[in-house]
Amino acid sequence: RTMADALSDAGDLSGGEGSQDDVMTPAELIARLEEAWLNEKFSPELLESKSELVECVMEQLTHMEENLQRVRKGDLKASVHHMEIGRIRYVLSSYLRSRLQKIEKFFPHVLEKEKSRADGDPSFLSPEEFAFAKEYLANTEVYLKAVALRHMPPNLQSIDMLKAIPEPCLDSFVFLRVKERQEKILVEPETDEQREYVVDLEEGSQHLMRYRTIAPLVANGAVQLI
Amino acid sequence: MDTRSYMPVPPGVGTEENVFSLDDILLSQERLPCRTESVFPGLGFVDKSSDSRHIPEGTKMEIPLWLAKGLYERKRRVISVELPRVYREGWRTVFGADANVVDLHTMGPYYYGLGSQMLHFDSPENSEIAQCVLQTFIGRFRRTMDSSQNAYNEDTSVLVEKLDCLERALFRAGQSGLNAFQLWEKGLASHLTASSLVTNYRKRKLADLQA
Repeated sequence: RTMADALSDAGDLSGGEGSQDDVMTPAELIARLEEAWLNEKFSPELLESKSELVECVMEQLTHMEENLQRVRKGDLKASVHHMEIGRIRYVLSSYLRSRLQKIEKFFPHVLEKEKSRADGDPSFLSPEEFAFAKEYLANTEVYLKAVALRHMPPNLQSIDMLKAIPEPCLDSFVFLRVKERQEKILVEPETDEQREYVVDLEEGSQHLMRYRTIAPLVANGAVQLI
Repeated sequence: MDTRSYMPVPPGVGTEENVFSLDDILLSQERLPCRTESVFPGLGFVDKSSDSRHIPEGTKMEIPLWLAKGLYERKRRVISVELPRVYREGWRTVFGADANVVDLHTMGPYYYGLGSQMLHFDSPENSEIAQCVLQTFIGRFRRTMDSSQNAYNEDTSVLVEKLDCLERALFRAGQSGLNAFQLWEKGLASHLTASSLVTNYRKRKLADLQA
């Protein structure tokens, strides 16, 4: 990531006011964005919202654009930096788009999850995403009622969204790379037909497993989905 | 990597159905052979061949999946659902021999979908049905994937005619990926085109105006 390193004239980035993030170089920030992007793309469920990361990246992009304004036109470095800004912007948009797709697909479950989380736990939806999800639910209900439900007999006029729309399939298989060594991961529990199947995950190794087994490891950064 | 701005609601996976999915709604129209286990009073008019006022116990009827799911109860007091031909022993052996030769479109266009839904009815053959549906899919998938990735700019009707709806959706996904890649190779990926939603809407409005 020499390109982002070269932009260190932007200085080190902190995670915004009041945040507890460590000070990161631009290279580290972009690497974290790419990790979040890949995890979100390959995970069957909506992951935690990384709002500070998104904000930092937006700040970084604005800074890079400002720097570019000051550079002499036609300089080769400028067009390369320009491409870099385009690429970062694409990754960021793709990350946000993945999240929106999942919110649209699982909207009642996403809202339910957010409603029932404890106060200390990290949020799954940014404030904007939360507003979007609520509007989407309201719009769907209004539309369904106006087009179909109001013509039904009175006792059939309600629909339970949580039952109507399937939950994300946590048993989907995902490819992953291990970042931190893990011991004794339970892959298959003991049943009448099989003994329990337990593995150790070596650092740097790659696996194909059920998402459900390693979901907590994705959340704490011990594995990376690929 | 879906870049459409509009995503139709996908069908449910396995034994789940998505209420808002058009594919699942059409699937639930498929008929199943059933046998009534108790009397259905006052509904005799449904069966045109008999003149009784009620449907007696033991009548054989074909009812759509949505009604069968609604009426079925584990204690089996209301109806019992029989397996359609494609999921029975005889056809299961055929699928086991060579899944590729079967025309899944005529054998009910929703072979995989209906097969998954059949598991709701607690047949003693459930595990064999599930295994058969799975193995059939595995056996046929490679050919579908291969043909969808290599048929560029040609008439695909021969390739598609024996596929059931799930396989056709996969085929379409493969084709759209292939076409997108070819566009990118030609450098036309950044060429802005009208969204399919817009062009279809315009066509529909025109048809309305002409009517």
